Amino acid sequence: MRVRFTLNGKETHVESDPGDRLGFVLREHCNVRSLRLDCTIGRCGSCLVLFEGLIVNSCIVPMFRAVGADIMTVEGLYGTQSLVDVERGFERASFEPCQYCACAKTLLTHAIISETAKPRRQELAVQAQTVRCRCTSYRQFVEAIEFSAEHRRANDER
Amino acid sequence: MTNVSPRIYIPHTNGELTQLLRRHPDAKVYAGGTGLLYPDGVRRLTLPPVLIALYGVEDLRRIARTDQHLDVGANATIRAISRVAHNVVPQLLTDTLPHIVPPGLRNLATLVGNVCTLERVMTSVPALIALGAIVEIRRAGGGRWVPVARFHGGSSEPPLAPGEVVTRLRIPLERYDVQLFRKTEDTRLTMAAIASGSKRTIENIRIVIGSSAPTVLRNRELEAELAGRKAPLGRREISQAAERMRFAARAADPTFTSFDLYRIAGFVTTFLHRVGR
Amino acid sequence: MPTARHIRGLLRTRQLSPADIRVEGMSSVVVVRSEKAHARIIRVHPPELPPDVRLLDGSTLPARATLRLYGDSVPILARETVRYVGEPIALLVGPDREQLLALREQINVVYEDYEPTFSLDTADASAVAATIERVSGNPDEAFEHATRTLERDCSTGIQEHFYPEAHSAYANFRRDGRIEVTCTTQWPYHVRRTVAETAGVAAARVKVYAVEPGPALDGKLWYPSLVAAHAAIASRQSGRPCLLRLDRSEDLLVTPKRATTRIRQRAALDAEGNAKAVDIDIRYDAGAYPVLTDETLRRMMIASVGAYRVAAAHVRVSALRTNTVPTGPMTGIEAPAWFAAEELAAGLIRETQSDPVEWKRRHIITQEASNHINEQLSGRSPVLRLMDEAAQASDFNRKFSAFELQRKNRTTALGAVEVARGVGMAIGSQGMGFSGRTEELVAGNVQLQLDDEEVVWLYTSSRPVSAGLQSYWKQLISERLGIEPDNVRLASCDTDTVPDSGPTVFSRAVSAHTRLIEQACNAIVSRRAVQRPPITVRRSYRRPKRQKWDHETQSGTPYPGRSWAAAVVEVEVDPMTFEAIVRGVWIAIDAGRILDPASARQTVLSTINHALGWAARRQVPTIHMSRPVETGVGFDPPFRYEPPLYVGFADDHHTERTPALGIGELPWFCVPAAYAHALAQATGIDSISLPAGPSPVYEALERER
Repeated sequence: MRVRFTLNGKETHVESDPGDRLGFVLREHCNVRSLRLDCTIGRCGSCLVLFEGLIVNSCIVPMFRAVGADIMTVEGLYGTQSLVDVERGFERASFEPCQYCACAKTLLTHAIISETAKPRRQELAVQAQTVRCRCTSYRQFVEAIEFSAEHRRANDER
Repeated sequence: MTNVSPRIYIPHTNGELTQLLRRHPDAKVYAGGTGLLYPDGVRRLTLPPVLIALYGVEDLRRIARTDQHLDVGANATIRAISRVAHNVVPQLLTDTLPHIVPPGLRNLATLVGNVCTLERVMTSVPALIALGAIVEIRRAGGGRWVPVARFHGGSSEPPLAPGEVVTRLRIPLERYDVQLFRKTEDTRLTMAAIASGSKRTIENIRIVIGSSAPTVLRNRELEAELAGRKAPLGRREISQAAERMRFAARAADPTFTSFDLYRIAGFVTTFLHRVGR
Repeated sequence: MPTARHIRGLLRTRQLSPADIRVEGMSSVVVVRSEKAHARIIRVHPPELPPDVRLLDGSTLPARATLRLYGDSVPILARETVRYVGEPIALLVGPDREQLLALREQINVVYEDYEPTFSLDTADASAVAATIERVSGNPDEAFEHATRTLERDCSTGIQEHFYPEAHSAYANFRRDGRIEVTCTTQWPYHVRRTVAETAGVAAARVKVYAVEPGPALDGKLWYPSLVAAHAAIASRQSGRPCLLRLDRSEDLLVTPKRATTRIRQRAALDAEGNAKAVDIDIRYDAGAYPVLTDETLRRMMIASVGAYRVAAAHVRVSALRTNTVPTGPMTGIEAPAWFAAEELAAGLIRETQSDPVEWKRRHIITQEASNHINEQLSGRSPVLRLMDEAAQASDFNRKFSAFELQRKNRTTALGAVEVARGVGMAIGSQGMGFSGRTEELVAGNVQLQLDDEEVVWLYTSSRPVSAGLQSYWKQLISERLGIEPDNVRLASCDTDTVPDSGPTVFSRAVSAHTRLIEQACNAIVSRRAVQRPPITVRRSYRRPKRQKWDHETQSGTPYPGRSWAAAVVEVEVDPMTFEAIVRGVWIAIDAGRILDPASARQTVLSTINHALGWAARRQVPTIHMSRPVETGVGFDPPFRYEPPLYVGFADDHHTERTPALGIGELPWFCVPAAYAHALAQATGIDSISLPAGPSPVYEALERER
């Protein structure tokens, strides 16, 4: 089937099977390198995308579901103030994810702080576990998200 | 993997949905899609031959509240429910939500999908039964409400007839004095309990245990006996009640290990200890 | 500390994962694996194969094609006998991976079954693959004159590495006879050697591009060589570039894990309950093919008495060959021995009814009173100070007394209403580099080149190198040579370009390679005075003169340096489920000069999580080839919400000249034991084995009841 969707603000068409995993298609046909397909059962968080504004594991989204959808990956954040907020937050928390999970953690942070200006710590502790990579502790990730949220708030007030 | 391209329908109203189900009674309903996880590793998800997706029906995404109850549409995600204010959703459900699916699936998985999975008792089911939740089932030209308990009550009749679909979950909003939830780390047991009363008398008490078996465990006789008693309960009353629950569990499911039975008794003990204190 | 710019760099890093490589005419490779744990292969019946698909078995390999690792060896493809479920038997090579996966399902292998051994308990003497034994003092006499003996028995479980990406390798056997390989590895030169031997070409004709493995936890130490060898054979035989990638579920089932371990201890006690001698027997499940055995045995032997003095000791460590996956190394390889040593100490503390901190203070090794291998500590032992710091930060003494009182006064049985709490303290130490003389046998080369444009290139095959360490190296070179930091560059890691720095394991990058870089800088500074660039300097590891090690008696100072830590863990046991929730972890560390405190803290925090995961969580079952329970089991720490985590570095007394020591493994050697002590206090269980999840706690309570 021919699937049309918006990827990082650009209209995109691909030819795919309705059951193809969205993550697979984004990598193989749309050259999105910021996500990876690893566990493919929605656990590891390597394949996160913003799907209609919500964080989802693209490994278990079938292509028929993507028809007309608005999809964003880290590439869509390049050059934006939103990305700067996240980077500053990470910097302040001395939070340094590895290159395998940096994109997923950045996108997740952006999604969380876009949705809630002042996220609750208890909720963050759950959300931080969306990306399971051994390189950092969840605690540090929670701190990094909190600092990013502070930067976002400061920018919004300006 | 099917070689025939699946037929996929995306209705936009409840009416279209039920009409499609009437025409395709064997169709599978797609809500969050978390039932498609396996087989893993391959590039394509295995879709059923006929699939009806719910995401086009705006109404099914809705979460609505009245004084008496909270209505959750069949396509409302776990995350959407977690975002509803904490004082609206009963504490028991709030405690249950983080345990239902891994965090990355919370924007996809639905609470109704969790109820409708019949192979085993899913995480939300004991809490929903304890809260007295019911579901709305629709078919072309009609509908009915049934308790969530009917989905996991051990009846040989499937809860949904061909052409039927669950469209809504209704959770009564009552005042509870004690609410307790535990899911064990090994995922063998999910336990939920509520109690309410007045003037130090227990009026209403429900204790529901879910396991990997497809039925839930509930000892209604025990619940009926505890209702009407003075709270707090005495130590002897508590240990007798825990012992009866353990006995009922052993009789109901021979696959329970001695540790499972111990944990069930421990849960009941802790819960009853909190009633009236 | 990472900068925003650095983080942006991470997002845009386009380091190619081997699994991403797409080349015109490329073939895929799928591994046909044994379904039997122990059997003889009689016949392999493939279905009818399409013309562009080939099946390659062991007979297509040169006779000497084996994966070799310091005296141990692993077959590239099983020739006759298979020894574990998942062992590679043959390779399917063809253009479409999904087609190969379907064909693999149709291959029928006929076996003659042999009796498999799955557990240390059923393994007999013939299963012992290697042993190290050491006697110090006169333990026999001590046991003969002992008033009584204390006997302990504990075990530790397996653990999945759960590195960020499943194994994959790309190989291209070119027409000119050269082989190019891309894979994710901690040891590029081992990949090169293995591929060369498997393909039957000279090592110089193999070029390995090493992709940064991320937090691999030693899971990418030797197994990448096997995967790369498979890809290389496939490429050689098919004449096409080949990509082999494992799915995560396949990876979970067939790749190495941390070994399960069984430890039996006896202590000869005098009338006051003091230990006069110990007898320690450690056996670990090395799986079907023991790997890195010599090093593992020695590290376990060294760690077997922990950081405590003992007059006489008899220590035996054995690697047992079973029919599980080769267990191989995992970061903190001697963690089971440290854990058991602390468990024995806990037993002795109970025997003498001592205060744990006091007992530890009395028995800790010092410069004057050494351990069972006569190790010479360089300088004063920092342990007492670290214990004080951890105790103070965690309020250990008050909590310990309060929880003791709580347990003694408990009116109800555990599991009835009351939350039970406990707190524990343990000490651990990490030895830098390989032990004994091995470090000298392992290549340790680093090269520095100052070119005529005032750009310095650092050449090392060290992988992974954390960004913290990388920026420290750049800063070091920049300062020593007076070069702009932007003009210091790390050469990309391929074996044609970088020298053999050996495997990146046991914190060698921090402790050994940093020192070599300093030496290379000094050499460039002296040569620059008399020579114009380009100047190239290479430095290789040499054992420090003060480090004396006697290989015959296995005694002396096994490591060129040791970092130390004291950890406190507090737990609370849920009365309903017996699940232990960690309420806090406090760790005080002395690791010499800390190069980058932020980066060091991040390393320690994430390692605490992994160590607690090992200590408390169920692990992925691998033996029966059933689907793993779920990805990530054995990884999640036992937290409901993350507890206070305190990390203190006692480095205020160090100077610029104090060497930097590794910390990446330290939490493994003290946090699990501290967790076990805390759990023991909370539950009243005498002896704890790992993983100490709810079910083992329940069983132990039932046994002791």
